[in-house]
Amino acid sequence: MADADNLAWKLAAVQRGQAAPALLDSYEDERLEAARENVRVTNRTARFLRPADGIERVYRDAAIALAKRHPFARALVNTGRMAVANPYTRSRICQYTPGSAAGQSVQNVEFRWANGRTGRMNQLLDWAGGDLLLLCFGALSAAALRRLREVLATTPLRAVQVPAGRESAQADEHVRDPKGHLRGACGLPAGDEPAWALVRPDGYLAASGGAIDGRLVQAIGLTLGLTGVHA
Amino acid sequence: MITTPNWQDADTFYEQLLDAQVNLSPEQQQAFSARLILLLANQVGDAAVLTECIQTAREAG
Repeated sequence: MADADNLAWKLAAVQRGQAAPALLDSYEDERLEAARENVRVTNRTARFLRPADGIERVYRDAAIALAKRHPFARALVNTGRMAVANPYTRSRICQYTPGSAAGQSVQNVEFRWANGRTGRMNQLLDWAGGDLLLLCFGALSAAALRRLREVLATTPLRAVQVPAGRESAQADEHVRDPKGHLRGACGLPAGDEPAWALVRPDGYLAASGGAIDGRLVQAIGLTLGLTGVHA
Repeated sequence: MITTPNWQDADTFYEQLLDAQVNLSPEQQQAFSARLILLLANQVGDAAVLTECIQTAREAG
């Protein structure tokens, strides 16, 4: 499933001529890492369920014996772990700036549409219709708004403003994040500070930042395989 | 990882550790040690410290 999600939007973007064919190379960066991680998780479970004779069995039995009486040891009892969205830590199309959660999957959190109805992150991704989704948190200055319009005119991107608290929106398209769930899901610090998050159609965070500046433009190029450190 | 003395009473701990295993078979001693290590590891908690402790224990062998 995650493999298909990863590939689908890239193929579509390349086919539409919005992304460079080199974008497809990032599939291997990301899903190879995920495959390795999945194997690691499965091996750990197998080692607990079928320990090798000797010390592996000693520790397995010790963990089970302790778990019967002490909650802490239940964390060691590994009969299979919940599948989680693997983070991509070495992808050529993620912009790993200090403090950014780039490469992490954005949780399907709740927010409010402009009309007050409850929405979820996945619905925002649907709304973006296969394009990159830019969330602009906080107030937008005139300069930021101008810059945003320039970006939107030249790139396959859907942007939505998330004003702080009950402040009025400067952009036509906006949603509300009264509990800060969207901000949190994008790995941004809580508060009213302006910030942006660039989310891919597969729900992964490609990049995030503060002011709407050249680095956003750079991030979009990177995410579409048009520019990059490996290019 | 702390490698300088952090004990309140090192001698008493050492004695208790040995006394607890006096009547145990080698298998029971191994099981005891495993349970003790898991209990102590949870007291430490910090992943980096635990990693360092495991590495240091290997080097000292």
